Amino acid sequence: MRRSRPGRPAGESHLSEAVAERLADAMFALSTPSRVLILGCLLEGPRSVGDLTSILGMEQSSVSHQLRVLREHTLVRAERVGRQRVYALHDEHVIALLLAGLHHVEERGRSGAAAGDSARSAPGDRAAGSPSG
Amino acid sequence: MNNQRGAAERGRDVTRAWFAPSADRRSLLDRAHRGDIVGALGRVPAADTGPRPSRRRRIAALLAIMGPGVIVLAADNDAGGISTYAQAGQDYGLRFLWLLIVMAGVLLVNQEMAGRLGAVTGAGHARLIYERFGRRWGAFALSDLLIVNFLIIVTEFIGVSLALRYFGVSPYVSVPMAALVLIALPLAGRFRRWERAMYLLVATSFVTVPLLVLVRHSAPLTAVPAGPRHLAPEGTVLMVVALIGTTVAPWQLFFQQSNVVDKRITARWLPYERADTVAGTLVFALGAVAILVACALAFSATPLHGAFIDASTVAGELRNRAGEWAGALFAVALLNGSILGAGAVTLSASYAIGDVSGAKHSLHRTWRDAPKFHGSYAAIVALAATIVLIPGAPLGIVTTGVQALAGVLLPSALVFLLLLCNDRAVLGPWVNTRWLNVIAATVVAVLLVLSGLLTISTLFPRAENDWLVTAILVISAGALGGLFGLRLSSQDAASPPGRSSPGKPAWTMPSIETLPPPVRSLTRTIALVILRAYLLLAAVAVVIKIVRLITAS
Repeated sequence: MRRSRPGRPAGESHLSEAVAERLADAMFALSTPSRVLILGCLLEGPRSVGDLTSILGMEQSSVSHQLRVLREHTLVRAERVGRQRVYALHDEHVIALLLAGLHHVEERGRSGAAAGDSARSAPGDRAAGSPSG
Repeated sequence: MNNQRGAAERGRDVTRAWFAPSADRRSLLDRAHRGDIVGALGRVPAADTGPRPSRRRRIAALLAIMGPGVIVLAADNDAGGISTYAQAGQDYGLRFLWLLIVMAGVLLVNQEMAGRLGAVTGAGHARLIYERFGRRWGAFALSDLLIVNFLIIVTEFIGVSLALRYFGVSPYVSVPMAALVLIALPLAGRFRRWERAMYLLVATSFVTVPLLVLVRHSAPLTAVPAGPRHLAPEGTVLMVVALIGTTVAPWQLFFQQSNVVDKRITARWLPYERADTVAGTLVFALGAVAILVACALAFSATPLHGAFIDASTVAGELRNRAGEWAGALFAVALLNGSILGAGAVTLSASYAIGDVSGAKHSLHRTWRDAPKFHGSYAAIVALAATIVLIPGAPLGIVTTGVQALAGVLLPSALVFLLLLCNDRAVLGPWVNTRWLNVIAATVVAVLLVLSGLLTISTLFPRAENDWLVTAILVISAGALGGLFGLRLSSQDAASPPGRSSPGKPAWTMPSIETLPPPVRSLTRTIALVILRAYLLLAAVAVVIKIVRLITAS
């Protein structure tokens, strides 16, 4: 953080340190499989906590908890429909981000399988954690 | 040939450094909790996973990692602590010196457990209670923490106003100034800057040592009498319980666990974090003992012996007995302790709020970056300061309320702590060892009894408390607690990762939502039933007291 130089000439990088921090925060929100699963569900449309719980088979408390984290990172917003509280993806950027991410992963999975490079992908699997939850 | 193998091994080391399962905690809620350790006295890069062969590098790592334990335990000598030690010294001489030493041991055991939970799980204490004991216990622990913390912060501001009044500063100046300083401390969004400011306060807390030296040289070195005759024994029991109540408080557990997470200390650094807790215990013991002994020496064999009023009168009397400097040093110690205490206690509340609400909560973040974290911190400080300044505010009730409520909360916090530290899903190979369980369970049982007595005696000042009954209760509770500790360790022999497995330093709690539900063992049920019964008893006592207050007025 201290190594930032505000007077850096333009053109070297168009990401300022503050923007990089914010982007890293947004990506951090995507760094847990259960949160990604929730976002994947919301890609198909707004859902209530109850819907998410039954679709994903997760505990209600942990769904609410992960939704709070997603809201904190402005990936998800809550709206009231009648009496129910419904969660939706925050805006179209989030949809684009998720689709691009999915595309990226599927692409890499295919090319990785084609090259037979299983060793390279091992650390990545570990970092992603167990997707079973 | 030899050279080549060396190169190959170095190459393997590099590979291991990159791909070894570094203890990267997976339940973090805030990205700022991941990265380099940037302590007040040094830095450890996150990529540093290699061994530390030389002593110089180990000391450098220790200096960088040290902090959470030292700060939390130095902050224990806060306004309430200092005035209670002063009272014990002034009224009872050196009679309770042993108790402070015992309490230092209790603090060490408790804080080590909290620090270990933080380093291994990466989650705050409040969140672990929510996840492992359910929503209701979680909400209970959190709301109790917030209420007691708020009352403690009010007492810290009372400490500030008393200390600066000694120097002739009006509370209307001193309290707002202190509040502004406190709000400014974490605002920069630089963990290192905050920790350096706290270190400065920790360093200032050592003024108690010159205070002791001054008193020692001015007071006649007569043998300090064991205790005055005119004090009734029930006062003594109350003094014991008050000393315990001010030294062991739940906010310390919440603070150290969250601060370890926020400082990015992982399981790999646990030996260093333990050293940090030991250092903090020494700082605590030194400060507390210095004040108690200074007050004991200054007031022994004087009419003031046994006539404690409050911390500001102690400062004035120390000036009369041991000179201008002694009074001033005591006032500085009180001011410093109040600020340090208020800073740490408020932070423990803000950490817990962020922990439960999923809001960003880190000292690495600026106001703009984490508005809820800094906002809740500033709001708590401002509200507490305002209450102290309201003329005729019932500050006496606040002080009593702190002790009574702390009595209700403390044992519950310790029961959760003990159960969490035996939860294999949470701590894996890092669960408590058998001897630690025996010690910790004995301590919890004894504190449960003593806190019960404190609650009852603060609510009913005239209730009978005699030494014999107290001793029998405490000893039997301690024995039961020890047995319970043995049970805690023996409950599951078939544990997945062994305590001495080679992967232990890298073991870290899996994502918290993927954990299996807690094992429903008899031990756990017994602990929670005792806790419920205890809370019910305390609640009944409070209700009776309120009814009496209403009918009396």
